[in-house]
Amino acid sequence: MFESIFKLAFKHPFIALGSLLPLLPFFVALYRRQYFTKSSKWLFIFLIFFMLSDIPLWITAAYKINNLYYSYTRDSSIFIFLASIYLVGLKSIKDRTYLNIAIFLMVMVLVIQLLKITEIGSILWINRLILGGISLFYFFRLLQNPIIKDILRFPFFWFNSGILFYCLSTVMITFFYKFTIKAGNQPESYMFFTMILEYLSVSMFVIFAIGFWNLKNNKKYIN
Amino acid sequence: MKGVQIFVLFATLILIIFGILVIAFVVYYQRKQFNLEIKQKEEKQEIELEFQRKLLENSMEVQELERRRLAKDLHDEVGALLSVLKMGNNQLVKKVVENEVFSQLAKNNKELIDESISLVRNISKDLVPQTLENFGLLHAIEEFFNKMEKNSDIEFKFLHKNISEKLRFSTKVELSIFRIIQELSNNALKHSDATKIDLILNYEDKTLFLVFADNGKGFSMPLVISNPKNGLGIRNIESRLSIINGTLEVLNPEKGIRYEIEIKDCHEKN
Repeated sequence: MFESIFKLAFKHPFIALGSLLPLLPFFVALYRRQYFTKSSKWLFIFLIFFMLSDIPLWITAAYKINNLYYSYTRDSSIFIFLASIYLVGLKSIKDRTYLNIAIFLMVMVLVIQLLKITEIGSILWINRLILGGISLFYFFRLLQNPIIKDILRFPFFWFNSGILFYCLSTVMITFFYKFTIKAGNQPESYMFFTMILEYLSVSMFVIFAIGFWNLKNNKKYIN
Repeated sequence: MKGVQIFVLFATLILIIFGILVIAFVVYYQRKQFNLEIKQKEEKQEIELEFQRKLLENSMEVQELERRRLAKDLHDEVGALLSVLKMGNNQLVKKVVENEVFSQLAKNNKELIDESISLVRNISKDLVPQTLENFGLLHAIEEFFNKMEKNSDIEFKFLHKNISEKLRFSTKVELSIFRIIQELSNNALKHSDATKIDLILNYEDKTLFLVFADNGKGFSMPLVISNPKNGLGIRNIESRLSIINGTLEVLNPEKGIRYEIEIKDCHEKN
């Protein structure tokens, strides 16, 4: 099994890198674990969830088992997980209500996918759009409440930036799913767009790593 | 299909740029907001400080006015009564000259009345430093030091530079400096076990420098300030200085204590 996985990883090194890169914020988070806040702890758990849920993809791919259903279910779950972390950061009842509605919509998307009501993978963009909106909303709230001395040293700014960057940049690829990452498309274009998604995912994890690195400054740079 | 893919790529690129721009805008706007907030906070603090300064200034002015009223009352009322009493007692002395017991009592009374008159005069003089008002800081300090030297074992030395007898500052500045010197001297007398006090007064570029040093046992400023029961004198000095744009630095040399006071924008009085 491992041999097949390694072969696959060497064949698609960038996809392998995309799977391994969450280790970077993971280790940075471990290094800064004494400064964990509630939100960073949840993001750390998210990293573990991301990496563990990635393993079945490699195994199934190595055995050439169709994992599309699992892959898209995982994709939607990831976005729901990330959206739930904002419940820690947003304190007002009004904001939390909006967030709960958004999470509910995301869960609905997941349910629609699980029940195969629509073509699988065709509504992946909705969760991206919703999460992108949540991260924009979070920035809006952050700007309304200037309690942070130096935003570049505020960990959740980086986490939110990573999420916003990933959601915004991948929404079009998933929206035009039929022409980009749909299984059965021309292998070159499928791989090309999959690779772009991996590049963007790598970027998000690098930004997360910066956020975890700044955990030390969290208290110092908040009023 | 190729056309859609190019469009997707182009749109993705635009969204990436948009994402970066949003993040950059958040950083820029947050910093701007935060700086504005800091500026507003500083302005508010400055207004509050100015208000406190004015309040302090008023309270000092009221204190001085009260001292003046008290001095006037003591001098005019009690002093006058004591003078009348003295005159009456003098007549009594003449009348009871034959009776030795009464004569002795009357003489004792006379001594007590003289002492009271002198005491009232001194208190009245201490309350309002007439020499300061009439002849300026140099004379007032010299007079005060002479008096202190007579009543204690401390040697007082006063040096001044760039200040002539004719040079006068605003009443507020002169009175504050004089009261500060009084406070420091009294502190040294009460607590320091010093045998020598040096005072240097220098005036340069509209700034008045004052150095007050004794050779006593010294003290630790943070320790004194941290105890709310102590350090009232020092706090009083700092309050007075804050009104006249002055600063105080307390240094601990090998022996004793050294106060360095700097009063900026000290304009001469025409």
